[in-house]
Amino acid sequence: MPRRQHNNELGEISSGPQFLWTKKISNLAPTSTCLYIMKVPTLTAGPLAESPNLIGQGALVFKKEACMADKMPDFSDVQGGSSSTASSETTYEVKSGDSLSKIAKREYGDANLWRKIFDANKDTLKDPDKIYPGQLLKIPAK
Amino acid sequence: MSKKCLYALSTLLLILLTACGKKEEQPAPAPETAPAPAPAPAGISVGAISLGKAVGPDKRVSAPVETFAKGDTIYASVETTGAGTATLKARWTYKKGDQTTVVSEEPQPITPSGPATTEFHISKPTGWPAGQYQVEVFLDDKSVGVKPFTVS
Repeated sequence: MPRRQHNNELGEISSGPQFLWTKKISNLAPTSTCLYIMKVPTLTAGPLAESPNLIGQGALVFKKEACMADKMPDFSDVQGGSSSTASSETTYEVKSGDSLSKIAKREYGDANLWRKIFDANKDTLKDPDKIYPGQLLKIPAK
Repeated sequence: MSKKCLYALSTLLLILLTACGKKEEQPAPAPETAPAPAPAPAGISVGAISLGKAVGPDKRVSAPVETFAKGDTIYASVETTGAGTATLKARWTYKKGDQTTVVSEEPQPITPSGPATTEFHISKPTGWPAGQYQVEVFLDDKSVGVKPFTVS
């Protein structure tokens, strides 16, 4: 039964005992497509006929393990900041779950100083309860 | 013409000639000196960019390194000279193969009156994926330096 990559046949695999196929796949470029289709004859019985990877009669889809490694990591939880000797303000990027009082607690050690942050950002903040991830807030010096 | 008229006319001519002579004798006015060129406006320029795991009160990296561990907070310290108003920005990116993704981008307004230091930092609670990164620094949206680093 033929295997295909980009509609190019890679060859055939002959079944072993108990419908087991093993064959090493080689010469695949790291950035090639991750999905491979193995066409099989119409299955009516046996373990393959009950496989969850069987997409209708006639083909099995499998995913190359290396594809998971090709995926870019998740950086959504990265926290950034900055400060300067040439500025009395620092900049803070809001993260999910943040509130002005939490930020004030982190920056000043006192959650009650949230209003200081709100006043410094009145040009972009209309409601102190409405901040969103990714928003940049000016953090004035304590 | 009577002598009186002649005398009057001569006197008049003499006065006129004198006046002309006086005019010609006046020194030519000194040419206006060109105004001195205005001094070039003070500007901010970026010097050294250092990477490290901590900064001191002066915002400078304590011990420059280029390799970080999974749990490190990564600092970039940027030295500037000059005076004025500008915005420094640090863009942190991760590179894998031919793919690049922006990890974080942070602007910092500055108003230095002389040499100054600005620090940028990033942290990741779940730990940094191993690989190649870089931080690129911009001064008013113009790239002024790139520092690569590794997480291993």
